[in-house]
Amino acid sequence: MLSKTTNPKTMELETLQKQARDAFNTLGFPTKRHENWLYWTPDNEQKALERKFYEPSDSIKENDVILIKNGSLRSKPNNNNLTVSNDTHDYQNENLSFNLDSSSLSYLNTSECSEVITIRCRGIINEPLQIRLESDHTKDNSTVNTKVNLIVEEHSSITATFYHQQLGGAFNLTNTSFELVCKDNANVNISHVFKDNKSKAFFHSIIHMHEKSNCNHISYVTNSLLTRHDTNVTFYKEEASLNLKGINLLTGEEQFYNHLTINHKSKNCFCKQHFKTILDDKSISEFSGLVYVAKGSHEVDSQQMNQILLFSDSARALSRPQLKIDADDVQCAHGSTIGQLNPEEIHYIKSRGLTESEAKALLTYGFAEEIIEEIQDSHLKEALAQDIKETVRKIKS
Amino acid sequence: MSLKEFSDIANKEYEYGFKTDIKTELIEKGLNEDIVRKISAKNNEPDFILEFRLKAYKHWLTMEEPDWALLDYPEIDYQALHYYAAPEKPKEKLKSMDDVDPELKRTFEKLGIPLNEQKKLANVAVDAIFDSVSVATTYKEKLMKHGVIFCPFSEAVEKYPELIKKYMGSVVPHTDNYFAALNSAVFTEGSFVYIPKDTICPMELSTYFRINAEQTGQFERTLIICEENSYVSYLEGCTAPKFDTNQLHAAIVELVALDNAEIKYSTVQNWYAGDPKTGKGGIYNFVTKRGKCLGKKSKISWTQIETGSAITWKYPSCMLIGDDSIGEFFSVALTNHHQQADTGTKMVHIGKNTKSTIVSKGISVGKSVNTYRGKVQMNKSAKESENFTQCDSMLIGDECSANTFPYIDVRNASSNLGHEAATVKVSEEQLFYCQQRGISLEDALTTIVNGFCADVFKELPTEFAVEATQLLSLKLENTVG
Amino acid sequence: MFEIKDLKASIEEKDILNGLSLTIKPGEIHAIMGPNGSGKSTLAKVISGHPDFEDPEGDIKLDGKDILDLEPDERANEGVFLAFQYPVDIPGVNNSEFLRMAYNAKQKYQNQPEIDPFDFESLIKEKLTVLNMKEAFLSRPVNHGFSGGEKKRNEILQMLMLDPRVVILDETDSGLDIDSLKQVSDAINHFKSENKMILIITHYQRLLNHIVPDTVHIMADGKITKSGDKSLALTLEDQGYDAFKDNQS
Repeated sequence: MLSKTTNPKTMELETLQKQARDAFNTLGFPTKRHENWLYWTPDNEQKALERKFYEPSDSIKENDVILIKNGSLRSKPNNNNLTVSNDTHDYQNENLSFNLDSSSLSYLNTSECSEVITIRCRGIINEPLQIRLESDHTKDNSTVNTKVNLIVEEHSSITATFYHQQLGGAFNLTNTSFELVCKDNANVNISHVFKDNKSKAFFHSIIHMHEKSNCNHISYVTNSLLTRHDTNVTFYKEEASLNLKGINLLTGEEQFYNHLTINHKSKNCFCKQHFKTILDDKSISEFSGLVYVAKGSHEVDSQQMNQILLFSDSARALSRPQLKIDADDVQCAHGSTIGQLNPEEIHYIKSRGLTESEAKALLTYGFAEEIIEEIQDSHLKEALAQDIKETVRKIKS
Repeated sequence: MSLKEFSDIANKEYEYGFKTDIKTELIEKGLNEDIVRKISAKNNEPDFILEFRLKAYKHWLTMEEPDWALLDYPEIDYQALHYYAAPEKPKEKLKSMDDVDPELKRTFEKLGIPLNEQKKLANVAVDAIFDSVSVATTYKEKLMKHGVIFCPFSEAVEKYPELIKKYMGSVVPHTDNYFAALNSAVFTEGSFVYIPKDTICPMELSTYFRINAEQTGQFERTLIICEENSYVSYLEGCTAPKFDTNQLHAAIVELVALDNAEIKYSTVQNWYAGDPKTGKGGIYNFVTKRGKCLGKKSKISWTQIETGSAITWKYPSCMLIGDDSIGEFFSVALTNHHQQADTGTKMVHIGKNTKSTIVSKGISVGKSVNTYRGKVQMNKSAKESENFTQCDSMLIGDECSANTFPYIDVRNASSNLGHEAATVKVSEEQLFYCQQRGISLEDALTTIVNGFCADVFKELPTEFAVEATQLLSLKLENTVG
Repeated sequence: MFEIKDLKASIEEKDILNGLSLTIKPGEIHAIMGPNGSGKSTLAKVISGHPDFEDPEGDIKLDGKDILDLEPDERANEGVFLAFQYPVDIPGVNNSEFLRMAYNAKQKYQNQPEIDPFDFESLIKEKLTVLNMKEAFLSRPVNHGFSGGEKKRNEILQMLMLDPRVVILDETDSGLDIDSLKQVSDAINHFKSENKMILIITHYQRLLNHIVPDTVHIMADGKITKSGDKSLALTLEDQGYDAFKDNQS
């Protein structure tokens, strides 16, 4: 592990990248050795991961949305409370982690990214912000490495939705890294949408929670070939609060690997994690969520729930909620359920004149609704609700 | 239980820490093919057992000690141990209990296991195992009248080789894991239980394990077979003297339940846990326990109260093969001082409509580390199966750790699984409430912890439930104030 | 005689009790009424020795013996009983075994032998009848899964069993329906005798229709601001607490 790196803030990108490269070379691609319960190893993707695709742009246009295409910043909004740039000096005063020790692919991202894009929010931004992370490279067997940071300053507030979209061919990978800093009293609403991705997407999020910061974080994965999302959260100071939610709809041979690590390094913080997954056909979902409470981090309240609806005998659900607790005055719980719709409920709805499939669609939507309700961006909320209703109707079994 | 009994017990030290002064016959230290042959020769074993041992030994050489458990201990030098230790005995077979070495009888009496015909425990048949050999088995004849076989493993090898050939290694193969391979190579003694068809075993069966010799390992093998429509409740207890050095215990327990059969297996484990202050000494407990629910509607139920050992590595498991079979695991693991436990279960659902229940209560005190690790797997064939798991951890004090690591894998769309885990705190308010009713702080704590474990204790045979409660309060002494 | 003199207590540097004095003679029932935040429940906690309140000042004497420095369990065994406003759950601990432990703790404190389990059983059954409670109640875990009313009745059952000298009823009437309120009150009236001292802490006067107090105190800002006979409670109900605010200004 590359734990001996110097603080990134004092380092030039080149040095950081060299270090990341060295670390990656030492670690190699993820194997069972690194991740003691791994169900997928990027064997077939190794070549593509090693070959990077980057398309620089000459100018950054002004637009309502932030567009990051093929690893480079293309457009940004004009907003006094927001600065967006790909200047490497912009992140240098922040204590960013840059890499996620639990995944060597994040080292690969650092080593191969060509721009470090930093979004900084200072003040209150009311209008939801759209950030599009697009890749449309057609040269097969290559990877776009995007690196984005969102820094929300003290007492600032933002709602932002990240759309992760692969517009290119089926054999082009994306390896994205996202670092979020919620400074003291920041108020942050983040959504990540992974939709209609024909290729494999690797996504690393690193979240820093400072004193009294508050963050709602929702991820949505659907109709995407293979998504791996590694999230690493650290609570540094008291009274920070984080809601991590996710809704995932998998059909066909889609796969979703969701790995969470929550580090409670401070007392009196709150973290709720709630994930719901619907599996059909030959899809696979793996959830692994570790909550770690360090010694002395008292009065931490952590509640984790992972719920799966399994519609097919060929689908597979793996769930691994974990608790590692070194403090005695904490409230930590996790739960996991895997099952089906309640036949009694289906029967009840049918008795009111609806067909079996309508009843199932209704109940499946009901299963997801709890998460959808939490979305702050109302446009996104509506779009997701619609999306889910449509997909659910297609579920055969 | 009364307050007085509580406080009496709470003030005792590890009371089983004495060593029996008896002439011991040892095979020289170390492990190689020659030693394996010597152990086999000591037991006058048939060739098929020796072959089994040698196969296992060769396989063991190719394996590596597992390191995935959350346990921290110095490397074990497998060449520094004696693999066979037995109290010297006359060449002729013992004709009755009265021929047992009086020193050994006294030892077991001190442990609460009287072997004399007159004093023996009512309604519990006991196989007393001292280091590598069985000292005595009570009620053998009475059980035989019902067709129930309860005898030392070595005797079973001699008298019932067909059963041994058929079932030994059928649940835990010698290739299963590092410690299972080691056991398969060097095992000495253990208990054998056979319950014939349509038989409810008329009494509780119990094996009491005692490690006495220093720098030895105990590697017993237990095999329990329940034929169709039969039932047995079996209990094991274990203690060891206080030594500064660590002793290794690597046992194998195999259970086989055929159609409609039920096996209830309970453990009260109180091996020496090492010095409370320094953590020196204590038993390294690496045990492989597994049951096969082979028959339809068969049931295997594990109950364990783990309070001893410096290191515990133990995952009593159920393979639910027969349709409608049931697996259960109830566990209390209490770690104090420098103890480390990584324990849990594995439920593998293969047959249709199989059910499993897991209830685990972990209590961490002092500087100890207590980990629940459990796997629930539902195969495609296990249609309409169910699992419910509840893992609760209680932390007392600020220097201990509690971990919960479940692994869930479901591969069919008609099964249901629910897993819950939570940390439970002994709250100030609970303690104050008890105190306001006149109960002292220490008693209040013991009462609350006992209440936390109630769901597991109620699964134990009555005689042992009391013992378990006492053990817990003993282990909790001086944890408040 | 139960005497509280100039009792002061604070939590996290906030003063809650500001020199409260109160004397209850054997056979008397006193009621303390006061708005939320006046310190009523704190008084109950401080009397019983709750660890949240470190080193309260003043005196609490039972029959001349100072109990303020005693541990909570010692105070209980001296005969001080608190019926909790929110009785605490103790999952897995059998209600009757818990009571027997408490009973025997007191026996031990008084150098008496432990009660014979059969005697205990008949005693507890007798008390259950007083409260019109079912025996099944005894085999359930202490307060775990109890309804609000059941919890309160369980408190009174414990009171009857432990037979204390001083009883503090902290909002025992809250969460009780009319029938339960009647049963609980009847049990308290049954318990009342020449040598018992009862302190009722309540928000409303409805309990006082059933248990008639000898003296009613009004509490505000951690002190008793007015005392009177039972008619004070009615006046209070009529005029509200504002009329009795300490005339400080």
